[in-house]
Amino acid sequence: MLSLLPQLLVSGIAIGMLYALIALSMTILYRATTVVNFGHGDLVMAGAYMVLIFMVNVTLPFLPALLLSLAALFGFGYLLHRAFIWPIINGPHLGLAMMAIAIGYAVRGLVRLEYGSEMAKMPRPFEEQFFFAFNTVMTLDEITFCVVVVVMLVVSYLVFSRTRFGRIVQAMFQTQRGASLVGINVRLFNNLIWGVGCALGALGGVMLGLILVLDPDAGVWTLLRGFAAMTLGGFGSLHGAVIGGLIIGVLEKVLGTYVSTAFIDITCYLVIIVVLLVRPRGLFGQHATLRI
Amino acid sequence: MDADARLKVSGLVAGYGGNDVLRGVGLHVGEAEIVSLLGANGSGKSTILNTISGFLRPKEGRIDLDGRSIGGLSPHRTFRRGVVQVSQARDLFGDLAVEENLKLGCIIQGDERLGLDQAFEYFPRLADRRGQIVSTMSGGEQQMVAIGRALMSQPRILLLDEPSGGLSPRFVEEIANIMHRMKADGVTMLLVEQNMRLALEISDRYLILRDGQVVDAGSTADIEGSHDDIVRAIYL
Repeated sequence: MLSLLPQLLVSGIAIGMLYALIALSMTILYRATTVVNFGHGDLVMAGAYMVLIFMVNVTLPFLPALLLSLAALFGFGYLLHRAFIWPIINGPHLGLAMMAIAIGYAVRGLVRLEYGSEMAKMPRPFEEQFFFAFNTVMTLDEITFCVVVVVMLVVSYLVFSRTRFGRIVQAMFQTQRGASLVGINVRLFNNLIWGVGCALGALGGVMLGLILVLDPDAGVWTLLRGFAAMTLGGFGSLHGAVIGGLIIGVLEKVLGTYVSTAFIDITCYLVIIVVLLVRPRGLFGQHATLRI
Repeated sequence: MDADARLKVSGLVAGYGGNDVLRGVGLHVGEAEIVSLLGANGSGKSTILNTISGFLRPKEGRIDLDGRSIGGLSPHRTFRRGVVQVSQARDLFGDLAVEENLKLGCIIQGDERLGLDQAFEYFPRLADRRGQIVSTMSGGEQQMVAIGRALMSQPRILLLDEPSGGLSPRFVEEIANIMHRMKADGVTMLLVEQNMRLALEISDRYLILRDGQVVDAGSTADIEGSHDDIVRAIYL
């Protein structure tokens, strides 16, 4: 039975990479505005649906479809913050949560207008292949997840730690009023960050589309895994989001195999419950409080 | 003096929601001049600074900097015109180091090298602690970082909201010395300060606010040694 462990670790890390990317995109939004976007899962799935539409309805090849999808979600995230979040940013926290959820459901409703409740399959950009090494097997999809997420992590790290844009976002994460006092256009940067966060989430959605059948309701599935990874890693921590995603990916596989398949679905809930009770700031977070 | 003022405010009405805190305030600050706003709590002192900075939109009236209107501009646009505020809460980037805080003060405009040299000249203590995380510093040191950060962009006018608030007497003295040096260097300031001795010691002129209106004003030189009338004007 234990001979399965290396394989479970490899598969867990691969799917964990996707959770990490989704958590990273949520964390980027959170770092800028300290708002958790509870509609984020639906925007993640919207990225996959946009690729589907561009490839099937507009008959574009995968790469242009992907780039257009990311651009569309960037624009959507920008406008979403500008038109719906910013005007109520100083209002009750519950209002922000309800707005995010409502927009997520509205996006889901738009998907339903085209696809109803039917599931759809995103056309594959490449044939699936399998690679064997050290008694484990990795699919080309899994290798793709790992490469894309690692590249995005390196890019995110460089942007946030080495660029003027990153310094500004870091300043805004500390205090938005303080950022205003040094001349930063807080609203504009928040808009941009929401655009970047949504585009990054959409990239995660497109990769999920490689392994999952698209379902308008799958946003909840992605949101919970992203949220669990974020909770475990610590709110606001970029590397925490990534490590949290990887741990949840591995836990799902290991517990799902050795304990019960039910754990594949409930691991993220358990992680949220345990972390919030035992260590609310997560593994690397600095702030236990958050704006929902 | 009024005509070529660095900052000129006239007929300013502003407040929160339907409640007007400022009810027709007028004032001016000349180049290299320091003007103190005095008044009891709730008289509208900080509201004036927040309205000039752009955090509050004026309902009526004008705010001009160097003859150009800045009334109603957002905070980042007001900053770019050269109005920089040191807020009462300081609003520092607490998890960042001193030097990073200072550098962020000129991330939009200003010469980083020049700004750092100037900040460390005013506050040598900060040069020694440039790598220290700001949230681990004392209130007085944080106030130095806040003022240093505000100076980084070489502002046209500095709006200081209670710079001595909550500080120990030793730090109040130190902040007072720094403000004397800034005054000698020609830094234009509009100051809100509860510590009347400090305010009158470093200011050229004062204004007394009550219920959102200027009820008295004058030169600090004219009242040297006797502050009783001012106290009466503020509280009675």
